Amino acid sequence: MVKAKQVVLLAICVTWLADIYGDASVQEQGVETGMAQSALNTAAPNDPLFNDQWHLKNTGEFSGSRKGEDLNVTGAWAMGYTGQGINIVVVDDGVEYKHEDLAVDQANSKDFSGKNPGGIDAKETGKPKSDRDGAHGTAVAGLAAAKGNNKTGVTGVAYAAKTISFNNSVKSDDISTNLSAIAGISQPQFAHVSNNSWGPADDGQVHDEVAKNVWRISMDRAVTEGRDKKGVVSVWAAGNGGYNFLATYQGYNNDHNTLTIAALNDKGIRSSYSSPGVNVLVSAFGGEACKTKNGNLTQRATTTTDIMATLGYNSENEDPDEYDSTGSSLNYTRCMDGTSAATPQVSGVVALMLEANSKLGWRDVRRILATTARKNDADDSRKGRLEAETWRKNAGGYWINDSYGFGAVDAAKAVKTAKNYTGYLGKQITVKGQRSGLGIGIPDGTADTTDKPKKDKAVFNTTEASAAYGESVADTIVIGNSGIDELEYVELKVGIKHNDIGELKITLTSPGGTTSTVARRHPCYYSLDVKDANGVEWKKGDKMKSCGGVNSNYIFGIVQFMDEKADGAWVIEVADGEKDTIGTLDSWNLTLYGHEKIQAQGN
Amino acid sequence: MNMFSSGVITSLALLVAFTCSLQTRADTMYYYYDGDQKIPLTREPGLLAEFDPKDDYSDVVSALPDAKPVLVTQHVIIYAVPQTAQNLKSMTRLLDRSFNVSPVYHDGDSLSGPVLALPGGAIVDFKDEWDSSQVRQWAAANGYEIQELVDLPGAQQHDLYAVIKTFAGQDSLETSNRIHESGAVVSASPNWWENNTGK
Repeated sequence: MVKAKQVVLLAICVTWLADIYGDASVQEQGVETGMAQSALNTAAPNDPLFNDQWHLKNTGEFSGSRKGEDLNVTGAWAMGYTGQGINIVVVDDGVEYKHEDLAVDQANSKDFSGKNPGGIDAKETGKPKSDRDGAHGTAVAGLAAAKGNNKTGVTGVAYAAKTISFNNSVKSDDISTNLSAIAGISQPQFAHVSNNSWGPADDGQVHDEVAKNVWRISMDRAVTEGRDKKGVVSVWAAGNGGYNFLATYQGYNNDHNTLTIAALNDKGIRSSYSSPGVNVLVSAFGGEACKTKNGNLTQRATTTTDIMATLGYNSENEDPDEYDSTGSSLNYTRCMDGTSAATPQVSGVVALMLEANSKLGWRDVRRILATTARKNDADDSRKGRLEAETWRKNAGGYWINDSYGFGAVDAAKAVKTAKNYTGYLGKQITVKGQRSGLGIGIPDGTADTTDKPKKDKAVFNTTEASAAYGESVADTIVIGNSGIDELEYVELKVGIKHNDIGELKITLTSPGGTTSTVARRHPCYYSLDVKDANGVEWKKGDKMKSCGGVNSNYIFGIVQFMDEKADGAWVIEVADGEKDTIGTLDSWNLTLYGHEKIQAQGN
Repeated sequence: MNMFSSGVITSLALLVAFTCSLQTRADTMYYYYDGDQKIPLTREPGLLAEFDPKDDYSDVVSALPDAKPVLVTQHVIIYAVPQTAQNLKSMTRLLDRSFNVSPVYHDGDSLSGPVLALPGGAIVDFKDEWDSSQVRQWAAANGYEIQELVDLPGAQQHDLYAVIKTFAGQDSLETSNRIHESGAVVSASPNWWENNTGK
């Protein structure tokens, strides 16, 4: 108890010092307090379902939940920031533009689904036609920017922001590479934030997605040309593949222009489905899958907008989405979970930050989110803690965690830092390093290939722990005179000959000594019912014998080296976790993104 | 858009592909361009994708009565097709004549890559110095129909992209490769269908 008070005092002092010196860029990363920073929590919206939105204010009254494990957004609202004048583009399966609790900019919304009558395309009816068309996007939009203080429904994080819907039918396994959709996702001149709670299906394949060139170009344009050249802030869900399916296996999340968001439950611990990854920037709150007993929730997700009346997630006789206990409102659901739910919360926080300081570049936003994040789940002795849930410090002085990134988003702290920000990042410097023609043999591992871990988390942990990696091989790239004093992001490509990347552990160690694991032994699953080369039938979700070879064009993204130096020796290590197959490390290359040391500037 | 000649090419290519697939199952003779990268594709021999399926009729089921849907979405149904000699012939004929049926591929050189299919369209990146009238002239001269023209704002005066209209399937892949290899443009890639989802 005494110790907790000392920690709180330390946090207050750090904030106070930063205020005095006026350089918010030196603010310490938040520390675990065990409670929300209640001194700022004076603003409570009058929306009837606000009390169910534990991700906004977690009182700890729900059995098993932990007080203060929330966004700490009421403090930001108390400062007067609600997202006014900010446009959040929700790229999803459509948003119900006539929803009573959403402010959708219909004129600027677009339907890229083409042949789909659902979502925003249904302008004449104002309502999607199929039962759940647009339900995902409507729920996402509500978490980011449902109208607040209107005595109706729920409260969005940026409750005075506008939502713009780009219906790409992403919920329906639709075409994502459609040019117009890509252009729309990243190029709108009216967009401030782009929310992307979508991505490759979480069904296990390692290279689930190789982001295409036109998409990458489009993302580059979004950050260089969008928002009057300050950059659209693109926020992306880490994925729901669980512990064994890293966010680094998904192409979109690895791009240096995206911010990847993981999910926490109401205890402030990794949601069981949330994918860890060294590309995860910060975490917000997705909860766990809804569970009820006798009509009462026993496990919570988030509460948000749903398609009105009986369409969408919350329809008649559909427990546990129903809201009978609080007035039978079918226009809301209490069961929106996933990194899809966590991501728009961060989009909302970004909207508050941009309202507080419109001069922020998108890289400033990324840095502020990271450096003001709270070190959640900080009890190292917690029973059941997994390897990828452990905290360590990088050489830049920040706590990092594969499951949480730099920690839980702290909206009040981020907004306050944004408001007082003077450490604007200068021109981004990009440096490349490459090694090729190596042919380094990777010694075989000793674990049995038939012991491939299963999707189930507990089984995976057992088998992962027993993975007997063979001796690792290493190679070094030395970077010199890069001009980068503080790193922002690193992209890694590897040229490895091996017929199963699911057997390999690949790590990158910075000159400062921080080691980030971009791939580790893991299973892959069939995404469709197919027959293999021997005529054996496999069902969707069955475990594959091999994840397949390593795609040398694939980019692994790493954000964990933030503020470290670029110059020095970068070391890649590769180890094989299973017997029977050997391979070679043939080539690898790095792209380092960073800047010169920040010079505080006047506002 | 030269549908006839591309259809003939498609037939020949697929005949070869299916003959090979009887022995090897997976076929890696296909490729596409992603920017300046040439990317191999591996054909999934037992799957077909039908885009924009009608409620009461399926080209695939009509031609291959024992085909079974393994993935059904709003815009596409993926069918598993038993690998009999008769079915391989029927698949070849179907792909040759259908406007909305595509082979299914895996990105990369093995069956483990992400699943891709071709709903139609070639995405073309034009040289910076080209304006929209030059793009339209180029399209007309080469028999291509522009489905959509997009000017990405940027530092350059123009950065034009176009979607060239094609049928679903091999026509999209062949048209993209043909345009890319002509050297007249910066790059051309097929408009891929990918298995994305909400999180």
